[in-house]
Amino acid sequence: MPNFIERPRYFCALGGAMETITALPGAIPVLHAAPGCAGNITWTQNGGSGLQVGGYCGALHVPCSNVQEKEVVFGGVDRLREEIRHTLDIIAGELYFVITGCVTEIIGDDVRAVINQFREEGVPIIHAETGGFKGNSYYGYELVLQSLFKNYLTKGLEKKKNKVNLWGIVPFMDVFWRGNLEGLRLLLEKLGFEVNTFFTQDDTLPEIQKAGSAALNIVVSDLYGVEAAELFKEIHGTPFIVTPLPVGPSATHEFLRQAGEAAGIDPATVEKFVTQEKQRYYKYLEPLLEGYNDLDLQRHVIVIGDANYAVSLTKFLADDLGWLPELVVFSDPLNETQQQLFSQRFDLESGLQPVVVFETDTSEVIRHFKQNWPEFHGQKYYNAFAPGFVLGSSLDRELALSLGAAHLSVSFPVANRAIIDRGYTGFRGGLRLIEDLLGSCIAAR
Amino acid sequence: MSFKIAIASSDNQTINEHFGRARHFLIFDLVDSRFTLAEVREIASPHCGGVQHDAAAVENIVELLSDCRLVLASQIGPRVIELLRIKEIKGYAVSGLIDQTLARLASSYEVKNYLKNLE
Repeated sequence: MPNFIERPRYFCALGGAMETITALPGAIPVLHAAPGCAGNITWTQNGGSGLQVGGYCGALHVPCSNVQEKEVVFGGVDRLREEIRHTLDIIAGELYFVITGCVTEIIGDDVRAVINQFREEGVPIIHAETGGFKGNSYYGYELVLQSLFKNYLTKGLEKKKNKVNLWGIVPFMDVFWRGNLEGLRLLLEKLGFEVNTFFTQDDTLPEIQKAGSAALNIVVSDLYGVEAAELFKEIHGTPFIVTPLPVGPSATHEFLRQAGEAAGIDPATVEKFVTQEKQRYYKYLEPLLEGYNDLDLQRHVIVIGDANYAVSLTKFLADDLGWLPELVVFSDPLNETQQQLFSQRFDLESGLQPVVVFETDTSEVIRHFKQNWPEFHGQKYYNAFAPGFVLGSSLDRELALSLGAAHLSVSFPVANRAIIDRGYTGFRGGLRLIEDLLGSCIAAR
Repeated sequence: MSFKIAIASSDNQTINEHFGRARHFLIFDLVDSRFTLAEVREIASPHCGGVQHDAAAVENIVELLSDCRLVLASQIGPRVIELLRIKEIKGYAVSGLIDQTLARLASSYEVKNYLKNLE
C-alpha cells in the first residue's frame, strides 16, 4: 500500500460537508476551522464541479471562525461563539450548520456546548464533527446527513404510506447532482410517491424536517449515505433499500421495480409505467440508428469513476447502449469488504465481463490497461483498442490522448464541462448520456 | 526544561496590563499538570513611557523572561512578539481571569503535547 494518493478525486470531509450544506435549501454552513480551509475547498470545487462554485454563503462567502495560533493554544470556543453571533446578525438563513475542521477537532473544542447555548435561545442551529481526518468529501456528506437525521428531523411522526426519502447522490461531488436527483424525483412522483430529496429546488426545510414520516428510504448508492440510512432506521424506524444509481432504461426499470416492491405498490402499475417510459426512450432513439450504424459508433471503453458512477455507467454502456466496457476502475479508496460488494455488481445482462480494478492513483490506470489488454508486437491479426473511449473524469484526458480515444468527463473532477441541471438518471438521463457520449465521438466532424 | 509562563497583571487576579507598561510579571510554572505561581519578577523600567518606547528597555525585559515559553498580556505589540519569537517564546494578547486562563491552558493541546514529549 503506498502512503499517498496521486491526484485523488475527492477532498476532505469538511469540504464534502460544506458543499452538502450549501446545497441544502435555506441552510448556512458555519465553519469552525483554520483560515484556508474554505479557500482550498473552493478551488477544488472550482476545478472539479463543472463550474458550480459558491452560491449563497457557499465557497468563499462562507462564515468561518478562522482560528489562529492563539485559539489553538487557548481554545477556540469564544471565537466560534463570536462568529455565530455575527453570522446570525448579518446572514439570513433557516438553519445554521456548524462544521469543524481538523485543527479545531484536534485541540478539542467543545462545539456541542456552544451549539446547545444557541439552541436554548431558540436559534435553529446544529453541528457535525467533520475533521478532515475522518474521511474524504463523500464521507463529509454522510456525516452531514447523520447530523441532520439525528438533530433536525422531528421524531415520532406517523408514517405516511406513499412517502419516500431519496439520497445517495453527493452534491457537487456528483457534478450532475441536481439533474440526477430531479430525474429520480420526477419518476417516483409519476408513480404516485410523495418524494423528499433534500437538495433540489423543490425541497424545503419545513418538509425536510418532516422526513421522519416517510415509509421508505431509498439510497441510490452502495456506499454514500448507507450509514446514514441505518441511523435513520434506528431513530425514526423507517426501513431502507440500497440500489445502484439508476442510469438508463435497464437500471431504472430495476430501480422502480425494487422501490415499488418495497413500498407495496402493485407490480402491474410499475410495469405499465416502465413500458410507457421505455416506449418513449426507444422512439426517441430510432432516428439515431442510421447514423449509429453508418458511422460505426460502437466503442471499446475504459470506465473510471467513483463508487456510484463506475457501476452505473458500465451497466448502461453494456446493457443499454451496446458499447464494450473493457476495464472499470474505481477511484474511491475502498476496503476489502466494499471491493467484494462492488465486484458483484457486474453481473451484466449483456454477458460482457469487464476487468474491474480498484485504483486510487490516476497515473496507474494506464498500467492496469496495459496489463489487461494484449500488447501489439507486429502480429498479423491484432485486436486493437480502437475505436476507443475513455469515460471518466478530467484527470483521464491524458490517458484518452495517449490511447487516441475519445473522452468524456462525468465523474469528479469535471473541469472541462459546464453543468447546470443536466442529469443522467432515469430513462431520460440515459438519452442525455447518449447525446454526450456520441457527441464526443463526432466532435471533430 | 520547565514550562513557565509570564503574565502581565496589575492586580494579580486578571490579565489586565499592557506588556510595555507592566511593572512586574507573574511567573507561573507547570507542576503536576497545573500552573502554580513560582515568582514575581520586577521590571526596573517599563519600556513604554506613555509617549514613546525605550528600545533598550524592551530587550532587557525580553531577556528577563527568556526562560518562559509564553508571555500573556492584555496588549502586546508586533515588535515585541517578534523579539520574543526569536527567543522561541510565544506572546499573546489575551484578557480575563488568570485562574481561568491557566486552567484552560493546562488542558490545551500545547501543554498536552509538551507533557507527552516528556514521557
